[in-house]
Amino acid sequence: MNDTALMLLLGIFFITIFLKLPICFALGLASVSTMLYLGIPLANIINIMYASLDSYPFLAVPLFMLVGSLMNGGGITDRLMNVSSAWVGHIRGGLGHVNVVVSMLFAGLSGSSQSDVAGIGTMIIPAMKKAGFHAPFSVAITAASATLGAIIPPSIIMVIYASLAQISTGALFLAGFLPGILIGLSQMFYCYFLAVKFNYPRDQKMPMKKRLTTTMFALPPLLVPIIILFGVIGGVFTATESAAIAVCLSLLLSVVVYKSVRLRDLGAIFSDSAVTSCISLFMMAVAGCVAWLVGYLNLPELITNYILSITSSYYGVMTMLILVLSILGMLLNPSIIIIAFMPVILALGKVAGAHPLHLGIIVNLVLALAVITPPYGTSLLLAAQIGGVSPLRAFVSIIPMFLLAMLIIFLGVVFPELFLCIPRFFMPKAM
Amino acid sequence: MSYLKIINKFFEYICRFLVGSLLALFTMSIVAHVFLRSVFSYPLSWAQDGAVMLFIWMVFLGAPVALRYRMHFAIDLFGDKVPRLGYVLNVVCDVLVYLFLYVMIVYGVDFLKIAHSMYYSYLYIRQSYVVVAIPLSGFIMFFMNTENLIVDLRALTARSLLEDGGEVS
Repeated sequence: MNDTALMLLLGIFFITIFLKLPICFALGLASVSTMLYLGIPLANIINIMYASLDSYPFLAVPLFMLVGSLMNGGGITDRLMNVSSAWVGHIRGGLGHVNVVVSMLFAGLSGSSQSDVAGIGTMIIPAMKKAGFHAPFSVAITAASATLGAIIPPSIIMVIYASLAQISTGALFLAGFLPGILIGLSQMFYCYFLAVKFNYPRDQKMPMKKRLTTTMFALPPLLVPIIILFGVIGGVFTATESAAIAVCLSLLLSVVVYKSVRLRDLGAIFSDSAVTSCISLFMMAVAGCVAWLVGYLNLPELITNYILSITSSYYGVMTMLILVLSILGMLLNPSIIIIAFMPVILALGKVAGAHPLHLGIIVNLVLALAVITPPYGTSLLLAAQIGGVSPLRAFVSIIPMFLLAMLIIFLGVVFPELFLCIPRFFMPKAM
Repeated sequence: MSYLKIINKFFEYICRFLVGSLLALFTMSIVAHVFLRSVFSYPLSWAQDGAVMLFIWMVFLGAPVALRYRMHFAIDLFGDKVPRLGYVLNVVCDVLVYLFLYVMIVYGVDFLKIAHSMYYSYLYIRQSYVVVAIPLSGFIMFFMNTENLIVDLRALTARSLLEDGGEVS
């Protein structure tokens, strides 16, 4: 009976999403039909939807999205771009490097890849095309660097993962630092390689005094992630509270300091951010039903037994986990994968014998890349739309950067301390 | 403008106003909690419960607005390559959405009876006051989805007329 119910759950879900049914309703209908088959009262669906959202850490999702909107609307993105341009614009392939560095800086403020593409992509993709960069590469590097938004802290998917896996959010944030920087550097390295090959332009080197002045102008927004991080690591406030404080600081910067957002525009910014975040949150509520059924139908045990029949080594299980998550990431939103498949992820991590924090950072890195893999690569699709390039051409251009990021993830699998050294140093108690 | 559009415009205005206000309110309650706890060592014990309640209401009032503008994520495998199929699938999807909305409304009301006897620990507010957002959201989405269905049916029939050599009025 369980096998048929499982087939029904997955079958209806995949058939309906291929019919172009919004994923939230596909998840809902798959859960409803499976519950009807199993004779479970449908009022449970409502209970689970409610219980899935009855979680204080999830409040960080709309708050970080709001921070992203305020920063974009407040001209803060421009200042971050000027800083990046001052420091790396003169390297061969200048705007490509600026694109990566500004994404790394913006990652410290927004927490999501989509707001990174929306905020930075609209400015930098046209500029790169105008400067002579190939359009698919301009789109690809924008989408690839936007993945850093979900890797370099703060990160929305890390907050969701940490709350469900019951590990320290601060430690997971810290674990994201080094891989984020390594992935960013790998993208800059690839950009340099292409710049030499295709003779991409570079900016003139700025005098040191001008560099410092430009940096000074952007210093206040750069302090926001530092306050967030130290607050969370130091145990002064939780990730959700840090997001609310980041909202206040962004408001202060954009309305009072820079005066780039008018008070009367705040209503629209708040309601737009709330509606945008409701899309993922509503989906998360319904995904809770699938997660409940996944547990009820014993899917974690089934998958674990299946994988154990193939391999029981640490490397084998971790590779299978990365492979499965990458395939799921092609079709689903990272937060949905975390919610619906968390029991499976934790079971596999246990079988592999991975440290919970190490497992967490590997899962988050793989899922951060999900936004650039088609057909459901939201950042890639958005960047391709901004750049006027077909998603397929953009995907072909992004493959080398995707593979470089995967290489770094596998390095982390082989050498766990590479990702764990920073949290071990700053938060030994959380290890 | 049809009555349905007027109704939906009204719902959208109310929902947009409420979700923006709820977001602002729970942000303020969290900040007040942190400030009072850190500065005066006087944490607001009810702040977490209150913020979560407002948050849940925000999610279920924002979902109908997203549905009206078809902002909920979907995977479009066919794109514009097979336009006729695309129009048919749009109508099929609108009908499928009704099935889930039915569950949200009918079983949401059912669950309200259970949630009415449960309370939030600090605020001592009945959980049904929050759960009611689910059937209400389903109810508003019912109107939004009907508008989408009418638009999709019109697009489908217009396309059929064009392919049959007729004129579209």
